[in-house]
Amino acid sequence: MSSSENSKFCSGDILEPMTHNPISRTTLALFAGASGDHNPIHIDIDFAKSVGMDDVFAHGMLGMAYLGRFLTSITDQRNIRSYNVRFSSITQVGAELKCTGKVKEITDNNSERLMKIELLVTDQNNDVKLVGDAVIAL
Amino acid sequence: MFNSEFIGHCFPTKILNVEEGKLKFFSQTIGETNPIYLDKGAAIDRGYRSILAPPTYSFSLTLEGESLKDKYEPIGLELGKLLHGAQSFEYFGEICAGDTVIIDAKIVDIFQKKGGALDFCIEEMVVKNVKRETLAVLTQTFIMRHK
Repeated sequence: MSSSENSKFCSGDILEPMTHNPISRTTLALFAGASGDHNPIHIDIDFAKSVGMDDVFAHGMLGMAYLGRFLTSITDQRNIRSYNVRFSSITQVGAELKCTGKVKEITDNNSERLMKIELLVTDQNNDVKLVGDAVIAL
Repeated sequence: MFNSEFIGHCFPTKILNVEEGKLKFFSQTIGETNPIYLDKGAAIDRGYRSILAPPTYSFSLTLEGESLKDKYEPIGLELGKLLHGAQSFEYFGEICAGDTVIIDAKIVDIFQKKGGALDFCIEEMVVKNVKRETLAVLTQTFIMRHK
């Protein structure tokens, strides 16, 4: 995306949300293999129960990858300067994650015009799963 | 408990090839449809060396060839209590299939909160290319919950 396409953003803008398919156990198994995070808490219900959980739960990095897709739908990936999240709560199997974002501010820093976006991932019950931000060069 | 004696601990440097098949599988798994993340020809047409690694893929590169247990149990990790608390990326250059990357990881802090009920370990990982130019800096916060 050229910088002229990026200049359409203004402080306070709400970005078009992106909703992902419900997270299945298959997704978790595939993501374990694809991401290299083999922690059994995400794929082995017997292990999860042995440590006091009712079920397996999603990798935090799956939600962050979905949110990353949201970011690269907004801008060319080469414009992303930083991307941070806090994982606020566990994402259950079946969760339908919705990624939303809001333009927090646009500033000039050295030679670059930078846009800071506030990011949020919620599930179908509006429970907050990830809270984050990204800085994008315009 | 994470052992605070490991603050400042550096893990051995890893040198990896960014494999095209693995990268494409990752992109498919996260539902990516943009061809720059899936198709070498499309990526090259858009000015990339090869298939582009999505923004969080460097985290997976840092995990490649190691197990959480082997890497972190000596530091005090109890796998069943582990939560990923936070994750940050700073970007300085793109990573594409076929690249060779050099990864250095270091424990930068270990501390407790809530009277020891929450146990934090902060690790910084730097991903460089073969010219030793930094491509990404990752900071991860691991938390163990002690009930």
